[in-house]
Amino acid sequence: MPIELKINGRIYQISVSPRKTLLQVLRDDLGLTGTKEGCGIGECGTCTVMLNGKAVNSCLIPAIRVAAWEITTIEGLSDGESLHSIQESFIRHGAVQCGFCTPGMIMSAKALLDANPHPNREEIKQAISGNLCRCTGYKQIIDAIEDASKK
Amino acid sequence: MESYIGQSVNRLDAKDKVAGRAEYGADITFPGMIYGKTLRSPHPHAILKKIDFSKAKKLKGVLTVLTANDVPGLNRHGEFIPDQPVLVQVGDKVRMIGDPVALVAADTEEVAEKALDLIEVDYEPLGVVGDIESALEPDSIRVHDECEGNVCGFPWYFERGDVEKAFAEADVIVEEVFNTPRQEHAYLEPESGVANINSRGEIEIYAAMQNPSYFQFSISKILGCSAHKIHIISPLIGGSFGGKCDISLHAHLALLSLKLNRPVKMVWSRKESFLASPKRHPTRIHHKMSATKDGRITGLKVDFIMDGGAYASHSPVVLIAMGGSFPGPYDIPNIKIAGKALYTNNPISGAMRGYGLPQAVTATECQIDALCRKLKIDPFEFRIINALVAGKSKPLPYLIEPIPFISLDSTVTLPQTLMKAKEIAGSLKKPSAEYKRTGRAICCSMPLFDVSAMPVFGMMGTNVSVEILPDGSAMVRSSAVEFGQGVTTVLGQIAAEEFGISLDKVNVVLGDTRTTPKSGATIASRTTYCCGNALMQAAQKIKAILLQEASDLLEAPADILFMKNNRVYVKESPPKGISMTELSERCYNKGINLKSESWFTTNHAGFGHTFMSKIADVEVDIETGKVEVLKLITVHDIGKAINPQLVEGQLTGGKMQGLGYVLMEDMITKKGGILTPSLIEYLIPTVEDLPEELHNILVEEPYPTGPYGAKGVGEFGLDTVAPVILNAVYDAIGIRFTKFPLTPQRVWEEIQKKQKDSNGEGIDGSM
Repeated sequence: MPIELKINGRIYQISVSPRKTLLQVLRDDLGLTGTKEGCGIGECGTCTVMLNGKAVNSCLIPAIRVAAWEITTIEGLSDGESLHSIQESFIRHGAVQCGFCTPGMIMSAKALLDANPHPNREEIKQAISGNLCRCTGYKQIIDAIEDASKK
Repeated sequence: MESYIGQSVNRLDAKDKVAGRAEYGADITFPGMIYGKTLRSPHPHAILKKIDFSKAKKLKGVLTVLTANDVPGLNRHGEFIPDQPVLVQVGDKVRMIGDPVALVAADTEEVAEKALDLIEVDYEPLGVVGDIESALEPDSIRVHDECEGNVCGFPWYFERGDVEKAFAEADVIVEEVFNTPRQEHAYLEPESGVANINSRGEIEIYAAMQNPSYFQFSISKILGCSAHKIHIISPLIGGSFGGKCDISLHAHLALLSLKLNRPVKMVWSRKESFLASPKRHPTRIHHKMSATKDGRITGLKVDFIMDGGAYASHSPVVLIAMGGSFPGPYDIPNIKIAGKALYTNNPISGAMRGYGLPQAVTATECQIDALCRKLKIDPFEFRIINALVAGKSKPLPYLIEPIPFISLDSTVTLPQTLMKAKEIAGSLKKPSAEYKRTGRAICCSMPLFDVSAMPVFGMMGTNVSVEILPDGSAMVRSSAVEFGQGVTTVLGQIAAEEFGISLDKVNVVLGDTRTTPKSGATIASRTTYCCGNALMQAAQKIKAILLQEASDLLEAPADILFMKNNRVYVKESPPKGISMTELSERCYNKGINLKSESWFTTNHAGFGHTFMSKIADVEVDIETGKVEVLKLITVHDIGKAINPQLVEGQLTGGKMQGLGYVLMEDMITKKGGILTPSLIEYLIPTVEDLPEELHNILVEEPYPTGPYGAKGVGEFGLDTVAPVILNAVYDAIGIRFTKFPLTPQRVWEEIQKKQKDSNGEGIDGSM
């Protein structure tokens, strides 16, 4: 069925199966492969995007339900070569290893800092508690988000 | 920048990763791409009687269904024992839930999934070998008919001195049976990839793997086709930890793509990854150790068994690595160690970060804790008393002629790491409530890393190439792969340092059999040492050529020239020099070759070794059984940290995996089935599990043969986390756990038992 999705400020008019999740549409239909799939059933947070400013697992969202909502994916954070301060902070603090959890982790961080520009470490931990990371051990990620909140 | 070595420069791949541009297996697309799915056995052990895929083939959108009959070459793979089928043949057995029996390719993933349900398969279930005990039974059914006693490969044995005499004469003995659990890698990226037939009719396979050249060789046998027409390219890998060392979907992709002459993508579900990928071996360890009353270990006797699962994978070598790790960094005169890996109908056990060392170290370090308490000797003192001494201590187990397994001609930094850990730790906090108890422990290990002294996967040595292009920029090529550990950046830093060029002028190309020389597998914490050394050797050759040319041009002897800031300078008068751009261009114009490869091997030791100590403080809630880690300190001898931030990342990440291993990761199996095949049932640490204080301190005792003195590090963060937390829990509540993970339920139950046994008296630590 035809739907209109607003992603990263741009309107996409596409026809999708009603069974498809937002994650599948982003990756398969729109070629926005920055958002990754870690489990497909909402248990890892890898597919986190922002929906009207809130961090959500895009693998749990039927695409047809979010027409006309503001969707932000990792691709929407940087402007060509220049990166968002959260992205720069992740690089600076060594908060990226394999990088697979990184887009989802950054989106959760963005949602947090948009709503709460100066969170304490507990609030940071809470905001990313649904984002699994198997490589970094999280310490450098918390440092990165904390540092980004100071900019 | 003065030097790139020792600098925490930003990762070369970080920008792409944070921007969402980084390309992993599932992100790759080709025009006309179709989708593959795998039909897997629901039985842990059964004869495959019949497959009828006629209905599946008729489903609209299905392009082909393949079975074992469609495997043109060898229907087997396995790094050490090729006993694993690509697709199980009718008439043969499935040996685990998840064993692949058929492949489907269709226009969409959805149709491919539907088609799986239409394939009708008849199985004749057989008895299930569900654990070590069943595998050991004299009349046990055999998982592999030719393997008597369900033994995988050969048992392993080492003996030195007279351990029974040592036990008879000992002042104190500790004896225990440990059961270590199965651990899942749980990398965030499930297995995924694409196969494509290129314009020359050659197969290209794009999928994560830790050893491109071995995969090329193995797949050539499976396809019955020459290796030179098979191209293996590893994209960026979303985590591996040893779990992507084995052929997973690679052969399946190749078969489907070749059959249809179209690009095919396969992406495993998380559940599929749980079922079909290898795990850390669960083990049962009977461990006995003796000591004199003044704290000298006199004897060590171990009998251990590993649950190898349905196929051999890395069992034959993990067995040896584990067996040889029991003595650790201690000088023990009388040793007897015997172990074997058994086949069961459980998920495959294979390579996982630590490779048998975590299990062995857990047993030995817990036993040492017990010895210290019996002897009332300080645990730091005890470990220092028994530490290996360079030049004096006998070689350790698994002597592989003619190379002694361990060469102790470099410093044994165990005492330094111990004392530094003690210094940093401060004092143990008092419990935060009257129903809580705090405890502390110290543990050590001597982790090992490969140094290219022995063949690995049939290949000896490490080959890395470096090329200076006509504009003075550099290409580094290696078949090592990037799964987050930072090899791209470390090799980049070394090349930039060697040639005195800026890091942004270095391009590191990895993991492509078409273009990268064979650097061996990316395993065994070997990449910085082996690839770094190979790169330096190759760079030296080009440097000599460049400096000779510069010497002619600048009319100065080559030995007073130095390379810095993209120029070659004369040492005595800085302004006189030539840019690398100009120098390289001149060389090219003269027909001078600026590309070199180097084949690095060594024979100074069988493996490299290093030392680390960990201290853990825990707080146990005796009402809920919850164990919280307050402090986790690691002191690690890295030799030289080429990029300290990357080293920290490896240690912290490894420690959190270790924390998961000992506190929460519980892969519950029953009769061959995994009862916890998802991330909500098999819990891995979240950010909330990070200890309040987690510190990594690096000791830099230069390693004589390492690149800039560097040693390996990749696996080591994980090693001693289990025993240090087990021992800290003992310190807190006086209960010796020989089985883990220490889920709140397990801890609570033991607390209840202890309270009952002691008639309701308080739970306290024992020191």
